[in-house]
Amino acid sequence: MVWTWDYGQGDSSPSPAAAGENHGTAVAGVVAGRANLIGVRGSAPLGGLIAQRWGPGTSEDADAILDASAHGADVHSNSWSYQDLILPDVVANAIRTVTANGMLVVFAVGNEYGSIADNSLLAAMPETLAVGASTDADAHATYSNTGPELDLVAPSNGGLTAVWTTDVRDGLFSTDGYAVGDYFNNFGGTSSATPLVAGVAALCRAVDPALTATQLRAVLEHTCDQIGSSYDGTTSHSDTFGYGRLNAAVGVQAANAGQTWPDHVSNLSSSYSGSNPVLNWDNPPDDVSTVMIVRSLAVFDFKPTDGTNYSVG
Amino acid sequence: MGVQVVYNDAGTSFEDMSAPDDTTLYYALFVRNAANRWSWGTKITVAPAPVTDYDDDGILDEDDNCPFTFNPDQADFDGEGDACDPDIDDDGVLNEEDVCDFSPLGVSVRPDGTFRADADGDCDVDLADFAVFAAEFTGPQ
Repeated sequence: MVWTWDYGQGDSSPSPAAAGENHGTAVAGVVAGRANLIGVRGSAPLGGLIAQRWGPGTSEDADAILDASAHGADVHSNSWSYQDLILPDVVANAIRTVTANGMLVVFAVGNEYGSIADNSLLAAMPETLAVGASTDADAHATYSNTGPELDLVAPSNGGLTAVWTTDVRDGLFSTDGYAVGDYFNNFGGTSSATPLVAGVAALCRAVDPALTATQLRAVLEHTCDQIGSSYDGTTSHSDTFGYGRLNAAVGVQAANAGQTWPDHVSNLSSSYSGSNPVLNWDNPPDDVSTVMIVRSLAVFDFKPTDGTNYSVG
Repeated sequence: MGVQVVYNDAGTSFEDMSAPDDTTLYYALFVRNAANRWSWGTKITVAPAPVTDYDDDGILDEDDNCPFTFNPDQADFDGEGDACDPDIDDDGVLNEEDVCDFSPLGVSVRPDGTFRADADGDCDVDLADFAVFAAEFTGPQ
């Protein structure tokens, strides 16, 4: 452990303190299970782990995110959401702050068979990496929420198999964990997909520490495999799969080769000056050289080719 | 016409002065970084400019010689709609100081807007003006 803190008890031991507090241990195993031939192996088996126990309380949520960044975390994995549709400013501002400082905040999109906008406002924030779930057959896990906010999906349950991970050990007569013993073979949901992605993000940051949070997110998005269909021919996005299913090997190789992609523009709007259309937009915070606009009189599919410059006309 | 690149620069705003009128336009924006790699596209569809009649005079703005002044007759003496033209006869004297708002175009005028051929000062050139002119030569010495 790099650093630990229990915000509820005010000490450095974030271990489960009540029955049913089994979710965090299962999530942690997916990202940080050691490569020691014992039990399960996480997606970042050599990564350092900061463990935090907190909530409920929005100020604690914000503190946990800010503290993780202050203690040097590269990635913050979040398999939780608010029950209501209110995004606390203190938490949103904390996420914006740590993102600007380089920490990538990853959020599960939720398992409500619905929309991200209706279920996970934190995943819907443009600064966060919104993670959904796919199955062992590279299909959409039907419970995984969908929408334009989705960034990518990663394997979880919902197909024939589920995820093995670490588990809170039961006491002699208690049922603290999901199962008896130190491991659980039926974990899943976007809760499991999220730490899997967070671990790969950590691997990318490990091989290219200069990556900003925005670049780190873009590396993961641009190296996905487009499973399924329904991807837009210009945005490359699918409301069901985001930009595709995580590909850890391609992502880490791209980061290792120093490859980066810029984020897309945001807040794009149109108006008129006389009879001339006027477009306004916001550029990404970094890694921007130029912006190209293409126009057509009909619906079209177009993707510029990396390495190619295009001229007006 | 297929896809056309209409902008390639570093700004955050673009006025499309080459856009054809009265048609729906489809745009996509892509960000390029210094390594010459491209972002995902962001799309927007822009409907034709709204057709309006601001002054409600029955003439659409794009055809109205005074789009902000009610003038259903579209009267136009000098190439600029009379209802919104501060100098209707374009003689250099503003309407409120001009004795003759409709002096013939191009004639030389006096500071009050009257013109020289209008000898009797009624803003018209006719036989009465000739009589005044003749009297200048035939009257008592």
